[in-house]
Amino acid sequence: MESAAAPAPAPARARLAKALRNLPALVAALLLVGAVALAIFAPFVAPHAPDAVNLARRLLPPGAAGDPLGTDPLGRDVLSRVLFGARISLLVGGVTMLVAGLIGTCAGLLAGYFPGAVDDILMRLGDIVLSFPFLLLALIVVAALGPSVRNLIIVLVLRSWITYGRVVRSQVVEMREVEFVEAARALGAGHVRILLKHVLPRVAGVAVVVASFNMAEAIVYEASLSFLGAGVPPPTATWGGMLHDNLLYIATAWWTIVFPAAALTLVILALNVLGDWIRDALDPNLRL
Amino acid sequence: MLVAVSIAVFVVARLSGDPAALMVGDTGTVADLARVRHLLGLDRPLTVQYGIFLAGVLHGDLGQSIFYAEPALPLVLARLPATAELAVTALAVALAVGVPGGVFAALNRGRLGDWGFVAVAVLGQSVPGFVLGVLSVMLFVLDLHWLPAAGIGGWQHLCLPALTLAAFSCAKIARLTRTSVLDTLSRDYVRTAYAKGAAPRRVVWRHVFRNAALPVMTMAGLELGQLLSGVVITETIFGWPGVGLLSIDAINHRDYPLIQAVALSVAVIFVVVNLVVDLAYGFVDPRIRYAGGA
Repeated sequence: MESAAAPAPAPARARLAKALRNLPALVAALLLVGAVALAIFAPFVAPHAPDAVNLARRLLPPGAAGDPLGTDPLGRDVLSRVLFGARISLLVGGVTMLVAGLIGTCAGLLAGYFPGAVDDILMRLGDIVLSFPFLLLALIVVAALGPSVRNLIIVLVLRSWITYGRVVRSQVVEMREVEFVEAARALGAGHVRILLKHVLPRVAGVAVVVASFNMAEAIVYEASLSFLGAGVPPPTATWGGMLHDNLLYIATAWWTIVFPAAALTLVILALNVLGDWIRDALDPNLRL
Repeated sequence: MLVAVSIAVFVVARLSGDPAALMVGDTGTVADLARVRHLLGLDRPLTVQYGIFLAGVLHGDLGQSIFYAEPALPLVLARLPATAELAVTALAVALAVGVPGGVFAALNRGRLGDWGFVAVAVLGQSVPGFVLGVLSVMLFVLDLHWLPAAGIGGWQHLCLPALTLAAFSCAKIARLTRTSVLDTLSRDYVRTAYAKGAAPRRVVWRHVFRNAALPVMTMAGLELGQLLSGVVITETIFGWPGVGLLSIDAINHRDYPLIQAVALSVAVIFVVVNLVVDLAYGFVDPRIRYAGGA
């Protein structure tokens, strides 16, 4: 039974347009869920161990029995390596996103809410880090600390928290003088309570948008560093590392390069589409 | 600001490990190591090392490259034209394609052209630079034999590296232009201009475009900084003998003076570019020209 208060049904055309607008985001979300599932269950899904060398089966083209996407110059199964590579990419991207998001959001809340010294330090720090080409910085730091997943995440967090910090700060600055904050203050609420109960929920959406783009960025940087040979050390399977390892065979074994490249691009694409969609859903005028 | 950058450069360069250990190698004795460290001045306190570095910077002397045994700054400056050629071409391509594309998409909002344009731009933003570089080598060099793969030379050599480098910035600039134009189109002064009977073409170029250009210019300045980061990857893939390749060399050799020279040069370029962008606002937007002060 339809209630009288229900809004009039939208014309079919408008409904179709609306559905089409949300379609890319839906596909992107499904793709990401699929990627995460494949990464988690990689040991059960992958036909071989990712670093199982089999020199008798080197450089087999896709479609070979047992190696659907072919094998690499060491006879390792490309499909298995792509699946296990997803683990590294999603781990580095996900952990960077969470840690940088936590640090950056807190820093942004504090800087926006308490103008003055905290604010100045945060912005200056950001200026300095941003005035450096990040890839150069990351190469130097990774060269110093030694390449590993943990060190990669440290470098990426050092760069990423600033973005959250700045975006959250600008939102908080706008909000500081808004009535509900003043009202809460007049009612005797403490700073911590105001920040957590009133300000945080209103900046959380923006932080989520940043998080989505940040995860994509972190994955690109991880892959780029691995591609330069300064990321996760071999024989661990990573998408960037596979391109690095197989570059010599670029003319003869396209499958060793195209499949990891496609996996990487799809995940980045999905994260960007999702980020766009969340942003537009929150506020189409938001510039991030 | 510059003091902070110089400290950051100094600290970061020292993070990259001990060059003396690398020079002495596995066969050197502890005494060799100590002698090399003394020769390079690495046995002095860090504050003294920083003082020497800073005094040198103020005199335009960034020290000797440990690996090349030549002054570091001229080494960087010698590589700069190649990188500048690459980065400026890439930015020019990105602007030449991205800005008209963004305006076109905004004027056709919601139509098929706009939809396709945004889709391509999102894709362009999502393909990592090294993936695009490697795939374009596969397609245009190995498959079609249209272009040379590596090195520096005529426009054929510039083509792939510049386009690879431009793709991401182009997509970003295009999307920003589109948003910015859409934003401006909804302003009252645009409606007024239409209402008083101005020709659509005139409204778009005189009222919309000039106002929409500001955020795009800011972005273009920042993008040049980003391009300097992307250059490291692009130069590696295409063997382009610029600052990017030099910096990878320097890092691999733990060549502090050279790393410092690269990092400082790049930071200075970044600051100068953004200053130029700030000054250029005045030409586009008279309001800023007259405001002054702040």
